[in-house]
Amino acid sequence: MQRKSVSTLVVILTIVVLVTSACGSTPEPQVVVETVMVEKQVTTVVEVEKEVLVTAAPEPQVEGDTILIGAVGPLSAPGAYQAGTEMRQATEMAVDEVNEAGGLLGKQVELLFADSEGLPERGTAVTERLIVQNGVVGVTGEYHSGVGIAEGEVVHKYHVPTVFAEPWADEVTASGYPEVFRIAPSIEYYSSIATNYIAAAGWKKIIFITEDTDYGRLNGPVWQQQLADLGVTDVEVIYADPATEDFTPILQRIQQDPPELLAGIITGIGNARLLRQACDLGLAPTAETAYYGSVDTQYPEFWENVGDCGQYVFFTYVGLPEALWNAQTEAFITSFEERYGHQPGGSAMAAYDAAHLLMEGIKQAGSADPDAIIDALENIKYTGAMGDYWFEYTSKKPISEGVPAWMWHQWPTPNTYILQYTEVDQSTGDANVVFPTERATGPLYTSP
Amino acid sequence: MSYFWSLGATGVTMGVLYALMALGLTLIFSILRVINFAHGEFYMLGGYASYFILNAFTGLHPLLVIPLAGLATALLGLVFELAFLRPMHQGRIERPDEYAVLITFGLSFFLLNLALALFGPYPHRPPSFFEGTIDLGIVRLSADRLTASVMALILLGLLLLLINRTWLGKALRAVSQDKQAAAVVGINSLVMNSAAFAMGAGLAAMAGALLAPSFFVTPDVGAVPSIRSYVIIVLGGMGSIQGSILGGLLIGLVESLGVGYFPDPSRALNYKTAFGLVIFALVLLFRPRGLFGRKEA
Repeated sequence: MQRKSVSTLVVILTIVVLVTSACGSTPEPQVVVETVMVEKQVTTVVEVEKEVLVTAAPEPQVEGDTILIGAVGPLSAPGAYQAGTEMRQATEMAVDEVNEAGGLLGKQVELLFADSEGLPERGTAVTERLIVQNGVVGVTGEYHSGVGIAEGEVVHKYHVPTVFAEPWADEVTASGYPEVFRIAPSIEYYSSIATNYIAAAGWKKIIFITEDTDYGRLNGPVWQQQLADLGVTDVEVIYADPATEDFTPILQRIQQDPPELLAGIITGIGNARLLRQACDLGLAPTAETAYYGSVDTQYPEFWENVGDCGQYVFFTYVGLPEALWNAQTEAFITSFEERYGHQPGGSAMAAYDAAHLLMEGIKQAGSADPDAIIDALENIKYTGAMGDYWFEYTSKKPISEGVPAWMWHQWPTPNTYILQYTEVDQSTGDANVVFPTERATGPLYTSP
Repeated sequence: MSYFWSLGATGVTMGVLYALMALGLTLIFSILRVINFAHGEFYMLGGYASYFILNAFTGLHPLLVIPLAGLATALLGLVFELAFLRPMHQGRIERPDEYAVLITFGLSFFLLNLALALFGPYPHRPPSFFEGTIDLGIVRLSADRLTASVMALILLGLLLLLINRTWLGKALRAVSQDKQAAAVVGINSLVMNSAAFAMGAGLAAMAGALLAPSFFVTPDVGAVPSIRSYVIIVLGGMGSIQGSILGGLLIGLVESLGVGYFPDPSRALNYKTAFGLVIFALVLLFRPRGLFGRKEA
């Protein structure tokens, strides 16, 4: 019996070793730095696409009393299920609101939310199931970039209109697929807000600890390039598994020659672990070393996990800070808090707006025909919780010379701000908006 | 030089906790001859138990909750052993080896998803044992980490005392060595199975509770520690208590020093697990039964 158990163990360990090796040898993603080259690629994609026969999608389910909407997002590990859970809650809320207002095309909307687990292969499978088996009219949601790219291929294959809420990789919309729309910032756009802020604050020696995922691997080189363009060249990037428990050894290594800015670009639990451990070592945030947290710094659980260490941390907030809320934002926040008992993060806000945008597209199209919905989305003007939505580059106004490829079907002004907590237990609403300076509500940087 | 000692101290403090976790797995394997694939979930439950007990009884010192978390999880382990593993040892299961793998895998998935449904996806953190950092001259460690390590050391000592100096420990060792011979002298191996499984679950839970203030707790927090524990028990020698302790310390040290001295800092942290696996492979190459593995009878 022991031998068999040992054999089982050896097989499992072998798998672990192989997985570890595979992770370690992840090829560097190719980063396009020349806009001209990007445009050439996109032009090619668009031209080819005209000739490609789209796989015949099953008829969307609009026959009975309901119209089916599909949503995808991570609800379990290894995905960022904290974000995925509130995305599901916000999407459910959006669908309920539409149903209370009479539904779509004279029918009630039924939401099918599938768990993509943060895995591209899983995202592909569940999206295909939503389309082929369930017959959804459109798809919304998603959080992870790598998963969003994979799902984009599926919705393109079956010609199903999709409004992505949170995947940031430039490639999501740079594919030029007519079905894919996005309201999240692209990595290039998102990074430019942070890198311009870093340059404005004057930090010259910077270390990024970034997660070893598609998101992190795409981010790292973009940040380095953008900072180099702004004259900041002493930038080091360290990759880490987002599930890393103990960052202490690498932090001790960094402590030998501390940077002026330590940035933790790790989503999920790793964000708080890294900050807490850097703080315990006395490395950051200090008067000598500032600390930049990941987007997960916005969640209320951040304070439970990091305590006093969170004071003076700054982070990029993709959403609308309280000072800039409109009537829809107020209504959304109030309803969300009443319904779920906690304040929504930026991911919830994005998922809510993406779902509403898709349903508004169906409403304006007046039918479940994918081409009609895509046409309606291309011409849409809609005010959501995060502001006024429209898509600038569409089939009627293709990407032109000098415009990045990711601007295709991309909301041009996603809300991206730098916030800084200046007090312990501060909410994102009370945190200082420190960048862009024209919208700032506090000083550029408050040092410990 | 102080950099070396800093890394070494980090490695040892973590190594002791790795050893505590692995020891639970060793105890279960050496008595029941079962690899417990739900060991990481017992670790997770220990963290949650500590968090919720401290929330319910706010006046309690966090250190007092560690044995409570261990006890609560040990009881759960006992119930599981009685309900699902005992029939296997009573000969009521047709294919016991496959059954043991499937049933503990099943428990792992069940507990993981139950925790997700009951406690939600957000990370929680019980209060610190002691706030702040402790500066030992050449090395600065968080008070929580150092406290967890010292507590783990005390628990390891108590466990060794129990194994070596008490009737229960002798009975466990007897069953581990030869079930039939143990039965001849009146030791009920079924009772020892239950005791070993409960103790193993309790040890994992105490490791989880000790590390919860440093690493927080989420439903999947046990995944990495459990994989590391499998490596440690094979490295130390399947079923060997001293092997698990030495293996834990060795892995802790190698991981810490590996990250600290790997030439390419951008990949050093990513290879942390791989550093341990290199030592694992080297040891098995020269000692296929692990550091303290014994020959099969």
